[in-house]
Amino acid sequence: LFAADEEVGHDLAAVDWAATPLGLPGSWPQSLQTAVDILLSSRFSMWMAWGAQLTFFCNAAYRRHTLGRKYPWALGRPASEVWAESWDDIGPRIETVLATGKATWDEALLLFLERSGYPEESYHTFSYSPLRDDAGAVVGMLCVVSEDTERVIGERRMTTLADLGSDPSVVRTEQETLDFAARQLDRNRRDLPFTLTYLFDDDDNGVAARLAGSTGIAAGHPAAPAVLPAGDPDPVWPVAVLLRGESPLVSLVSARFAVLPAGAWSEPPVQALVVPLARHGGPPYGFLVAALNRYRPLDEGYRAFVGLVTGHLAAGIASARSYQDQQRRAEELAELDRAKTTFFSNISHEFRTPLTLIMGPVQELRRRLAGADPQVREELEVIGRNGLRLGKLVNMLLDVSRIEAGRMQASYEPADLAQVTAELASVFRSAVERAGLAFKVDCPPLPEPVYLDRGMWEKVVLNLLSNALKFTFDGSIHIAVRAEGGQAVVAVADTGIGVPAREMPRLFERFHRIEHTRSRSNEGSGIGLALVQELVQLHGGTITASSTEGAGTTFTIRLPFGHAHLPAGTLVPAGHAATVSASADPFVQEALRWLPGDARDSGGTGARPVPEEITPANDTAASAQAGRALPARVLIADDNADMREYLARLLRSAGYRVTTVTDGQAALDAVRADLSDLVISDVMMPRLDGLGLVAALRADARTAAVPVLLLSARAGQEASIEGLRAGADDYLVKPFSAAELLARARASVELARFRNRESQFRRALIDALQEGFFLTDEEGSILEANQAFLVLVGYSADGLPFHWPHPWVPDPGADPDGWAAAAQAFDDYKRHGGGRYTIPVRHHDGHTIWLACSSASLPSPDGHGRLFVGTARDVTAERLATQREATLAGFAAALAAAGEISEMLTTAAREIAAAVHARQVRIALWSSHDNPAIAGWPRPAPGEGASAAVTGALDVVRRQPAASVAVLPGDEGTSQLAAPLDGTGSSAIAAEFPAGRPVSAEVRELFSVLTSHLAQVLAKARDYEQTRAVALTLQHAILAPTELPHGFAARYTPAVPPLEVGGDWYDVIPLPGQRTGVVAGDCVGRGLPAAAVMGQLRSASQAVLLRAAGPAEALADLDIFASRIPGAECTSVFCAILDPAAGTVTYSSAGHPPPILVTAGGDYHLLDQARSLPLAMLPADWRRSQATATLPPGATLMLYTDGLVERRNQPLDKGIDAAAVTVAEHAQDHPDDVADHVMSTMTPAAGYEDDVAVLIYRHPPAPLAVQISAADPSCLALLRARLRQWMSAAGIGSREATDILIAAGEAAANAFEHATAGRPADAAPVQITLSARAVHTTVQLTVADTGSWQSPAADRDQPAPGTRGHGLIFMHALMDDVTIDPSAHGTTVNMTKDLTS
Amino acid sequence: MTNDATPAGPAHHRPASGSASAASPQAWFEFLPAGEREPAIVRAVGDIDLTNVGQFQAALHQAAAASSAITADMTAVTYCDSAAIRALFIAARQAQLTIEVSTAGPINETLLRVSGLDQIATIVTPD
Repeated sequence: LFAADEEVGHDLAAVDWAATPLGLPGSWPQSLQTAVDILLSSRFSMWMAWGAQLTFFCNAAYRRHTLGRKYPWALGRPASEVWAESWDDIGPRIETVLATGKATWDEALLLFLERSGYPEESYHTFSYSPLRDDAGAVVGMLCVVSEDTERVIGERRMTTLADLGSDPSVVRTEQETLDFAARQLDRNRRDLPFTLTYLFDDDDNGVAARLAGSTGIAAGHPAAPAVLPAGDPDPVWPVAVLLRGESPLVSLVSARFAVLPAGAWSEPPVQALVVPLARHGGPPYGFLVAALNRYRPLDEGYRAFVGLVTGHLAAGIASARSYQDQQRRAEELAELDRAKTTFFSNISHEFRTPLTLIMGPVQELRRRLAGADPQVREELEVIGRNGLRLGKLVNMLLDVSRIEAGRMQASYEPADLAQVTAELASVFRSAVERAGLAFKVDCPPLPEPVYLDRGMWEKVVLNLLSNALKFTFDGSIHIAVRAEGGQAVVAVADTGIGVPAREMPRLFERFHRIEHTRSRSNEGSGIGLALVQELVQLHGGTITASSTEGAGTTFTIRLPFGHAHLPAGTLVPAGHAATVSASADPFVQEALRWLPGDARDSGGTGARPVPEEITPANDTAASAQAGRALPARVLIADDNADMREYLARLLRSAGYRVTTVTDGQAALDAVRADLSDLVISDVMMPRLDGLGLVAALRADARTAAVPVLLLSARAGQEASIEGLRAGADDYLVKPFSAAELLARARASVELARFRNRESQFRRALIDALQEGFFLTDEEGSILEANQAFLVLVGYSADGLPFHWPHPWVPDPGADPDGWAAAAQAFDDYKRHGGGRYTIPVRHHDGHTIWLACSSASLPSPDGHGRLFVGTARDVTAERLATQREATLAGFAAALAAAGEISEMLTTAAREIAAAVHARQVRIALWSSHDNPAIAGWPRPAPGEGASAAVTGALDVVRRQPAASVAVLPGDEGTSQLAAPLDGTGSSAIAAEFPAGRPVSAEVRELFSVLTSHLAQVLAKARDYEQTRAVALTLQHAILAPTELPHGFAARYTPAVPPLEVGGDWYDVIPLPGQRTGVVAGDCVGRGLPAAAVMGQLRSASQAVLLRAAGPAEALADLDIFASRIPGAECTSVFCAILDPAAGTVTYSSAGHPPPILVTAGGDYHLLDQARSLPLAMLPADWRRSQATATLPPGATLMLYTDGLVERRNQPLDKGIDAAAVTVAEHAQDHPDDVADHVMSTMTPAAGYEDDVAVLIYRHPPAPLAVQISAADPSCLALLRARLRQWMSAAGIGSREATDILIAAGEAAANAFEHATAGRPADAAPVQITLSARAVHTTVQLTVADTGSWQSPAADRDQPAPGTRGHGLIFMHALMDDVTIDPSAHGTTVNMTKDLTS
Repeated sequence: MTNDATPAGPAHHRPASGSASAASPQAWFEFLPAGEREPAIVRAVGDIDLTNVGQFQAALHQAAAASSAITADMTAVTYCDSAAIRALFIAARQAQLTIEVSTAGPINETLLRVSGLDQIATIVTPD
């Protein structure tokens, strides 16, 4: 009874059946015996239950796959005992089967099986069907089961990995990366009940770890401490082991973990795998604690899964950190640049004062010691020369830093550029000629004036000439002015040593000096050319340089005519006749000293302008310096000229410095402009009298302390009291003696000085404050402010007091937002009596800064109302930084939303253009060839490149180090910012700004930050696209051919997107003797692993088919091959050889569904002979067989894989039938159409679940033969219709079919002409015959008539256009071989078309 | 091509011939005179062969008489032999000719090159 399987049978026989309700096997009914026999002989995994207790039986496959350690214990026991752990799930199902007699079906049902010593998560697809006894009653059930555990769990893990890789944003911070990953990991609480991600931090005691992410576990749980401190001898997680790179398995069964969360399960995990987040070339970033599914073994797949998750986290962290580093580097560079500018600005100011105090006395000494010892004079000259040089350098540095800060004040006046330039050049003539060089000045008048800032333009020309002289030893220096292309052009050319090509891009860079070159002097700061470029740009112009090393250098300046390009408000009327200012002298002096034989010795001072004292015109500090040492300053106000002169003379003789004015108002103005130590004023004066003057002075905090001595003709107590009450310090009645006046004056001055000492101290203190300081009254008027505050707003102390609205409050019309902010702050300040506020301020020179102010109130010293003291700090940089952050965040978001690279570049260009207010932005990507692909905003038209200047800029910067930004001239006076987008020179970006708008440091910085972000994103996107392209290429390499021979059509649908390959395949292999091998196969499994096996088998099948004698031998060879490839076993393959000449197909099947053969008439049958087992499954003594079937003309053969026809709950036959009916319905259609119909008809509602491969072959149909009468030309249409139909059935492609149709039509049309031309009317009607046949890969066409041939009249090769005769030429052109056989009884045209070409 | 709007007064020739066999795909020609549009358009649909090339030529002639520039829209032509090519040659002598062809249609590159039609007319491929 149990003979069908020796092993299980033996164990079944050993069961004590007498103890079961079934009794001894000899007594079993026939139905039970049959069921047991079926069970044991099946290779499918099955078990069955029989009788009242549902006694358990199973076969070998079930034992192996499912039962595990319960064998053989389970045999003969009640099923409810065997499957006690899952009886809740399966018991009711079995009862249903027993009660209803209907089978059940469950797919991928989760069952916990105790087959390996622990409850194991497993999935099973099974059907319970009823078993009946001999009487037909249901007494048991049979379960056919296949286990899906690997597939279900594999898919679940793949989903998690795919989710991890689905991050749509390109760049994230480290925390965002981890948060995203956590959200994905949290979705798979089966494989990862909980996870913890720790990152290592170095602290003083060693390495600590902090919790950076978690899933499935609450914060603060004992297993998830926020920090694992360094030096902890027994940390919760084994940090030391992880730092060594090991991945320990940690038991979670420990009191220290308390109750752990269970994830998707009912019981908490018992083990966790802890894996380091590996860092390339360094210690790990941290580690991942992955709590493990207690219902699955930690096998290789599980380990690999955790490993891939960890790898993904580590890669994310690496990417985020690298991005942060780059970002920080760019910001540090910008900060450094800013600091440098500030430093130079400060230091230059500091230099000027001592320089003034050196140069003044030196000039004086030179004058006084003109006749002194030559050595003394020489030393004075040295001091003087070097002072000049230092002054020049300081002035240049100041210019550069002013431009840098956007605070260069320019005044453009219309000028005769040629004349101005020529005059500047003439200053240099003597120096150039003394150097032995020719000096050519070529400055013809220009048609229109050019607007110049004279001071700046002098610096431009003098710097260039000085530069030329410095580097030229022979030949000439040439300066020329001309008009060209609507612009004024100034060129300075020399025949000097030139500039090496590699230095050209950096020529205009600040502080960049070309080292190791020969020059007349080693001196130089490296800012001359940078300054020149900036000054030219301020003029809305450009400067370019061209140079040949050893031959010379030419600088070319282009300036627009007119003033449309200059900011309004900077224009002034033309000045007086041009003269060269003193600023030229330092240049010439310096140049002369480079020449041999010091020019100063020749003493020719008359030819040169006399050097003037360097006096910073606005430097009020300079005069203040001397304050203490000077005598007291007295201001005399009297309308009587005699009295003024008398008082002045008197006081001067006493050592006072005296200023006189004629009335009170003038006195008030003078004092406000420059405080006096004493004011002596008449009482009676026009405009403002003495008492009014006193009141005004006392009302102003700044002048309140100035002592006033009133003089009056009015005597008497009252007058004097009136004067003193008004606030005068003393009162003198005319006439008064000189001694009395001087005594009173001295007393007042001394008293005032004594009185003022405290306030002066206070003032000094306030002025020393770095922050702006101000004093206001209740109305908001600023009564007093320190120097720092005045510098901040750009107004001088002369304007005090400043009443609300202060002159620096933004204009409500031009800047409504700024005005609103300031007004709001002012209201708050008045209501609350001070406070803190940040307001926009329009600096005197027009730019906007932001001040953070803080003010507090105090009682007014005079007891009336309150005063407010406040401080102000420039927070423009902070605000800009904040705005920059916001801009960057928006930029990053916009880029993240963009998909492909091209879309991303357009988005980036648009965002950058908007952020920096650029006119246009262009991005170039270089691939292998020289012409880059250009993207940008506004979008370039298709095929549009970039202008020469933009291309030049992109090309210059692409090789620069990453994160560098260059300022370059653009087209038509515009300027550009350009930066590389990677370090390899393959991409760069350039932004072009409108003409006349200098690029500020802020814009440059913002551009740098945005482009370095773009660089990051671009690099990552390029990597991704490359990886994808590689993956697709590899997939296509193992896919089946898409170019099929004539007569074939194929369709392929992989089951697992986005893969384009799967486990199914088809192939068409041309064989010798005009035969063709066709193969369809199906590897076990799905997705990439199956595709890899498929690729190998496909290659192998091609090789064996070429070698083997027939399909059976080919499959036998494949058996051997498959047994050696892991995963190739059990592949089903159908293999056939088509012999069109013989009209046969010889085939053999290795467990593959049978192909369908459909005749032209629509009858069909299956190629179901020669069937055997799948590859490598054959018992040793089995041989593969082959069978041969006939291919009738026009037959259709379809090979397919089971995905096409297999449907759940439906026998395979039904699907095969449906497919066959569809092919039969289209038996005459083109093979491509047949394939389309089959694929669409067979598609299940939810789409194909498995891979599907379909290969269709159309055997050549029977030859076509049509005969028509030439009497009716409309028959031509019939002829074409029949030919079209036949060609479609023969599977001829549409292009070839069109050619054949036209050639046949021409031949037939010719035949018609034969029929009508020169034939007797009574002759028999001409018949036209068309026949067509498909022979191997050619179509043979014959058109014959019974008329007489019309000679083509010598136009065979080249007919005159538009004349008759194209027909024959068309036939020759469209067909491969044409022969015409005219005879007296008719003409036959034979044509052949090769379908392979 | 704007052939869906039917302008006032186009000359229609459809079907090609009253006696045409039922097997022949329906063929017709329509002439849209140059009014708002320039040039005039002759649109051909279906198979052009001996039986209807005369009508095609007539439509072209009518167009050439009305306008100095004409466009032959051949995108819907399914068959076309040397007779039709000849008609186009004649039209090109009468007016400045633009021919619109479909890449998948019978008037392919070979036909244009071999006939020399591409040298005397402008070839446009709308698809």
